[in-house]
Amino acid sequence: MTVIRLVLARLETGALLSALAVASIFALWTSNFLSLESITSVLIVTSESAILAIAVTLLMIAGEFDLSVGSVLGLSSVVVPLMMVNYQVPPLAAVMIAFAIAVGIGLLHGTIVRGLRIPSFIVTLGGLLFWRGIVFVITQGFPVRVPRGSGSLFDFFSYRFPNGFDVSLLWLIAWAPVFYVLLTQTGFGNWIYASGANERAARAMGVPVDRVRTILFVFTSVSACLAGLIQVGRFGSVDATRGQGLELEVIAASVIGGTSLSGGVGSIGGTILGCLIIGMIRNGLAIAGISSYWYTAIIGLLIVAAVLVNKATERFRKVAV
Amino acid sequence: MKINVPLVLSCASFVTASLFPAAGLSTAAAKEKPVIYSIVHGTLSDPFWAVYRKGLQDAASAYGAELRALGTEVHSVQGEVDLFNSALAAKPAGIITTIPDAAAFQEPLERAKNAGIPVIAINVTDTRPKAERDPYLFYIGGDEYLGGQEAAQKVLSVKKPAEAACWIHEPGHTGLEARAKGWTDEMQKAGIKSDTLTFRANNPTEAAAALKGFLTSHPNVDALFAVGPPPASVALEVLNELGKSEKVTLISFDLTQEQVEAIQNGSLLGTIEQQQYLQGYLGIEFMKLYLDHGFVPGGSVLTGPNLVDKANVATVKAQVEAGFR
Amino acid sequence: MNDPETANPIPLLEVRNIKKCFGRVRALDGVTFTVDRRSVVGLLGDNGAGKSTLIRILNGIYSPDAGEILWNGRSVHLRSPRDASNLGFATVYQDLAMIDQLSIYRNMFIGREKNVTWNLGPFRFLNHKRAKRETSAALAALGIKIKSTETAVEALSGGQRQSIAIARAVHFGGELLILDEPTSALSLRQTKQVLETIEKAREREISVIFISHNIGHVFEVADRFVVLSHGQTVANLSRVETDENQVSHLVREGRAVER
Repeated sequence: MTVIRLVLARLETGALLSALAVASIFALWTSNFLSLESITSVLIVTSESAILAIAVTLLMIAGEFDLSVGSVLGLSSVVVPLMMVNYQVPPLAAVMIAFAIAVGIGLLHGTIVRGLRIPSFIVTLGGLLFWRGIVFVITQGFPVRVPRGSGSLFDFFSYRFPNGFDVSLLWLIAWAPVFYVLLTQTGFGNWIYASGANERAARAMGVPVDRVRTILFVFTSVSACLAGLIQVGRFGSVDATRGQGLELEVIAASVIGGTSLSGGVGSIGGTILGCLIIGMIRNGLAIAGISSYWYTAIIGLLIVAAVLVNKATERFRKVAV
Repeated sequence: MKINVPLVLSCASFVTASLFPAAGLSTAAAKEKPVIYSIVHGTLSDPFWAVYRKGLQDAASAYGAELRALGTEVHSVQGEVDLFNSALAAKPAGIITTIPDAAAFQEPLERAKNAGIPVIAINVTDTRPKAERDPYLFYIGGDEYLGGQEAAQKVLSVKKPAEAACWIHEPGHTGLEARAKGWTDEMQKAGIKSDTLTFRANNPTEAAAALKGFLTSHPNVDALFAVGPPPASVALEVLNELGKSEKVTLISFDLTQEQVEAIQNGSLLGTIEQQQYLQGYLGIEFMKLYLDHGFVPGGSVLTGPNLVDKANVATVKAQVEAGFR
Repeated sequence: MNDPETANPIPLLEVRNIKKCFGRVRALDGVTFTVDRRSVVGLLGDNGAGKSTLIRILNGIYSPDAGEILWNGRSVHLRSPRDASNLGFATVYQDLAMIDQLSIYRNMFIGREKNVTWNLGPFRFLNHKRAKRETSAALAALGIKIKSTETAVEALSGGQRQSIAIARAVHFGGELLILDEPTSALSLRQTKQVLETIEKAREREISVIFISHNIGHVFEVADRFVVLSHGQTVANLSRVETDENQVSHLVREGRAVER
């Protein structure tokens, strides 16, 4: 009994069970789902989206949304090869500039949300359109190629080894624990939860809610930049639509992983599992040769199911065992 | 209460399983048939890809292949590469894919080559010389650049425009860019300046406003090349509204019911089609021939450009209605 | 009231003739009272009597237009909530006391994490063990019984929450607790629990301003009653000078009963 309660008390449990269920369904259904090629393909997709989704989860726990991450990812990925091609900027400097731009965008979003008291949903919706527009303006719609010979730097972001594993997985393995520790083991993590769970109470208790959120907006932009550079490394080129639609996919992954849309609840492990589930469904359906309409339909079902599971297990989380 | 979790999950898996009752059977029944994947960079419900898919299906049943046709939810190179990686993992007999971005496909195509999975490119491809290009067998599809040229030549055969323009509705799509380039180059050769418009057409109202703005600020433009059906549709309406249908000669790419009617009533000079049914059909046929006998044609198999204008529109119309074009 | 009785030691808090206007509205128009050490003062008054404005002034959110606040006999200016809390004022709002989704021990240290963190360069890491231990000790000091400090606050009763919030204020050096309606919307049993916590706090040399509508609750614990009406102090009576009927009449009528 205690063990069951302990398991049910974990926010990640629902996502973990769903992940196992999805994996078993596809393993039984298709013959190659558990092959190395397939698993590593899933891991590539999962790593890229999880690096972004983790930061988005922290922001959602703090009670805000960032709908601009897909566009910021697109902008960061475009800016780097463009600077290298048009202005002969050295690759490393181009990468640094991209990160600096991402920090600036995050600060800007955070400052507008806090300074003008406009909901983050609106501000970052504006960001989604604005930054995408900037991408179209600076690329004129043309895809940008990474110049040859700069491969070694981008191999550092993404390189697929002959056995199928990709460097991006190492980024996730390095990235996730940092945020896990930040969220669960630091005072700042306490503030993240407090800001989202009850903003007024948090303020009354001296939590600098605005600063917390601004920092998290910077995190989401910087994560978008990193995920973007990983994709630049993987594809060697960027088209103007890169990252489109990603903002909703990472929010979906967070929700499937147990993050609440109203703030105050969420976990890093759950979000990674959420990304893994989405990655497995994409991959599994493709292997089975099922059209991608089913993919969107299933993700829709899964989001609702995830919320139901989380509601059902909610009471176990309140009381310590 | 705590049984709720497995209950919900088992319900979910039941729903998933019952959604695809045939899937489990298909693997068993298809023992003899080679599994061939087709992957495109757009959604298969798009009218253009629907015709392509019909070609795939017709050939798959004629030649006895198990077809798995995949497309992305929205136009996305990244999404297509991910699908390609998944298809590789399934270890199929062969893959037929579009290559909208040569750089992005380089690594996956090398993996396919190393895994011994043959790949035929269709519709859009890496246009570099064979020694430098991504590893794939050969290409079946239209030649986008030639298509653009042919559009320009057709216009030039009826008049000499004062000023021309072409409209790319999916900025970043190399195939569309090539069409535009063919047009612009050909116009330049004839000494005519051609502007390139790049805005999306997925919101017709916005696109119409943008096109109106352009035509008002560029009153000399009297020839317009719409590189696909969505901008063609918007342009037809805008020219009609502005009363410029006579003055501005419109030519387009690909074929829809609307374009056929416009050609018939004279508001559209013609359209360049790439006969994508052939891309699907020949894709499967050539793959089967390669798998069975190792046949590789001597170069690209061109399914276009093919001009549709008043002269042949009646024949084509029947084929559009039947879903072959 | 300029000359407090010389026999008594200096009171903890003295509020003298505080005035505050918002535009034409006189929210406070001369409020005067004292809070002695180790005492519970019941602050009573109808809606609009000026209680909220007074709390905000004592919290450093508003500054008064006129009047003086003396803390331990010295005149002080409260410019911010931080000023107030540094001096030893600790306000507990009923609805803003706790973050429901977080555990008791995390709630205990929200905004005061530096008390239970260890530093690594610029990073501060929570010492969970220490936080739990200190939480248990703080709760035990006020006689609050909780199974586990890891329980999420949303699983607690209203009384437990209020008691824990009081324990939190006491733990962080609150010398004067300002409790805003701590017993409203609580059951009888839970109210009793909160009142017991208040008693326990007083035993630990803490003074309390107990703001409430419910005269019955205030009467159980308060040593002195201050009644506000239309921004003025209409009565300031010690427990021995009065009874529940008189106080409730004062609150209702806003002036003294004629005897």
